[in-house]
Amino acid sequence: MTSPSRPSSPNRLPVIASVVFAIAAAGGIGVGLLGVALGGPPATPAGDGRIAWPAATPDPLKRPTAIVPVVPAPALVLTDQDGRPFDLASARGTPALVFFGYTHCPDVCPTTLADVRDAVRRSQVPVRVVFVTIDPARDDAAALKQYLSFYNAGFVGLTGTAAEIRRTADAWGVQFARMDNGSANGYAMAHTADAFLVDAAGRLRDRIWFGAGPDVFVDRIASLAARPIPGDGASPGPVASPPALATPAATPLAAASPSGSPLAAASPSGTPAVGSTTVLPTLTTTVIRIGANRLVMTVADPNNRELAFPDVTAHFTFRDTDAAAPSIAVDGYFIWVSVGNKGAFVVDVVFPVPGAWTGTIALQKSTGPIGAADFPFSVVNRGATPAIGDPAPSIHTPTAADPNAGENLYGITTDVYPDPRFYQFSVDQLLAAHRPFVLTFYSPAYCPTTACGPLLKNMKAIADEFPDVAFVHVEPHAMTNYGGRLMPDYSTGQLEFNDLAKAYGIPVEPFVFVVDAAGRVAASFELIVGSDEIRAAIRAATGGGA
Amino acid sequence: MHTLRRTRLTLVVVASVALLAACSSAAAPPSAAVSVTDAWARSSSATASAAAAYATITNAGATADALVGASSPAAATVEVHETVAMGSPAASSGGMMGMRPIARVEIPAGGSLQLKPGSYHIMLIGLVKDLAVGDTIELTLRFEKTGPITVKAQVRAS
Repeated sequence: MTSPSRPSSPNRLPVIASVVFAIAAAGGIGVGLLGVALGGPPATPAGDGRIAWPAATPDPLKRPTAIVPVVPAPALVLTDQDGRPFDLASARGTPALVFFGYTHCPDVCPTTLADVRDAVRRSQVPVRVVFVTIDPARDDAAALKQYLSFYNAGFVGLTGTAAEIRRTADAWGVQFARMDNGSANGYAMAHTADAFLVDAAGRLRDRIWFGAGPDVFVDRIASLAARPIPGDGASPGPVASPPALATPAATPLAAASPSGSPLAAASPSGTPAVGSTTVLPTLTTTVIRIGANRLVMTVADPNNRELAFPDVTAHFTFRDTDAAAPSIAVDGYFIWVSVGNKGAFVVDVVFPVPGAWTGTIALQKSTGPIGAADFPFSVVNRGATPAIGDPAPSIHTPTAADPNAGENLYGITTDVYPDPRFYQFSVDQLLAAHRPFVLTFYSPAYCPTTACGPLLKNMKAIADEFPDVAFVHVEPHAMTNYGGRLMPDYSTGQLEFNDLAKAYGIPVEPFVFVVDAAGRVAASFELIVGSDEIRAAIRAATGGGA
Repeated sequence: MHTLRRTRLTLVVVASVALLAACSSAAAPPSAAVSVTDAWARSSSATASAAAAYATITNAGATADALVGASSPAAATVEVHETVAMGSPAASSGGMMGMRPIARVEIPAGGSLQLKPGSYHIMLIGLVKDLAVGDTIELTLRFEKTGPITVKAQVRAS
């Protein structure tokens, strides 16, 4: 949280996509501690390879997980267990505990539900409890009603369509994935197990870790009133310091910026005006080097409202801090990260010298300027990944022909619906055959970023359009084949990249490489990529085919 | 002939006593290498698809043993599962809690294994009836070397 993620720290993944910046970016403390709760530094591998939970904190009540600065709770608009519409925003006046789970969950969810049930019974302050299913396929309103009534009939259970649930979970920064683990109980759902505490004014105030126990819940609910918010009014209005994660020192340029601001000086022709909105940029690209780069940036306002839309233009300027190179002005273009839900701006830029640089993003609509912000970043000589024009490293990637692939390919992929085309050829075979290919590193089941879900769907559709191009999917993490299925090798207590990912030096997933018939990297995409960008790169690499 | 029959009978009785001792390990004699204590199940409606039970397994012996399965008259199917933290802790939302069935968990010589919420647990699938607070259910844990150990698990609210 103190410096931008650099390629040298492969486990520091930048926050991206529709993960709530309100939680992730603003709540640095909350996020940091979540890591602790879910296998961060104190969670160590025990001798038998399983994850050992951190020893009991001396005073768990005092473990700081408050969300600072305070931000409005993300949207929560779904259907309750009686089939009625529910909107958390219209339920203000009472604090709410919001957590996600599913009714076929025998261990984690009942533990939290029992903790919360006991806490609500003891709490001096009334609190609304909202349980959101992440398994809408099995959890309809009736199933939720039956399940929750065992704990407290007053608990609200929410369900919706698969799309609604995914959108809601994304907004809350909650991850979930189906695990077909062969249990007689049917598939399991892996999911973020923290509980979120929302105050009576609808602001996200605390994030309570799994296994905290009822005392912590009681304490945190009671302390809502005891923890006043600086400048607290009745409304959850704009908040103090700006959220910033990947670009911690990002400086929003407010409307009242003096006319001599760097933006005014360096801005592209005729757009020195700065709008009235505070723009909080997050640079999601971590590999930035001399030569051609593709930078991706998401933007939100302090209330975590999305600012990247198709009708918004983004002008970028880049200044070398040592002034060894002239400043660069270039327009970005819009892409959807998640169609209709979250967008980003991409800018193609060539950096002539390494070192410290400062970028400025200025957003504009046809009606006038929206706002602008500075963001610092570093340009390195060479990144760990092969640059454009470099030969693609020759690696043997798993194929259906591998003895451990299994009938359904579950021995080499965590994709629940694997597409055989992605496991037909190994990268070394394709390089030897001088065939162009698209190599994608990501883990459908264990990808820690929300950029993977859309990519998985999109890549299969793109593969349909380019029958002459080979597509290769590679799981980037060290995994063990457990009863015919891949499970992460948690020997270090967390996901680690495997040798295949290391051969390509990827610092994050997903990572896509487009390789031409000469075996050279024609394009690469880190983290966030639009389908049209991949299509264009394939056409360019294959001489315009398809 | 008569003497022989008596000897056989004695052997059977001795074997039965030994078997009984193994089965009631909650009150097992100190000589038992593997013991199961503090067994409990979380209260649950029979309509829930699955409930969890927990216990502490101690191996006082000089050789390792392993938990290889479980059964109970309280449920149609019983599996040993492990809840695991998934995902990179440095990632945006930290990670997820996932669950997987476990075929074998070793309990080292002189070691113990705690089955507890958020970790290893016994999954009771298809409850025969509600698990009400105050009830007890029978739980049999199968060990690779020691064989089955049956204990009473209290049903608790949490």
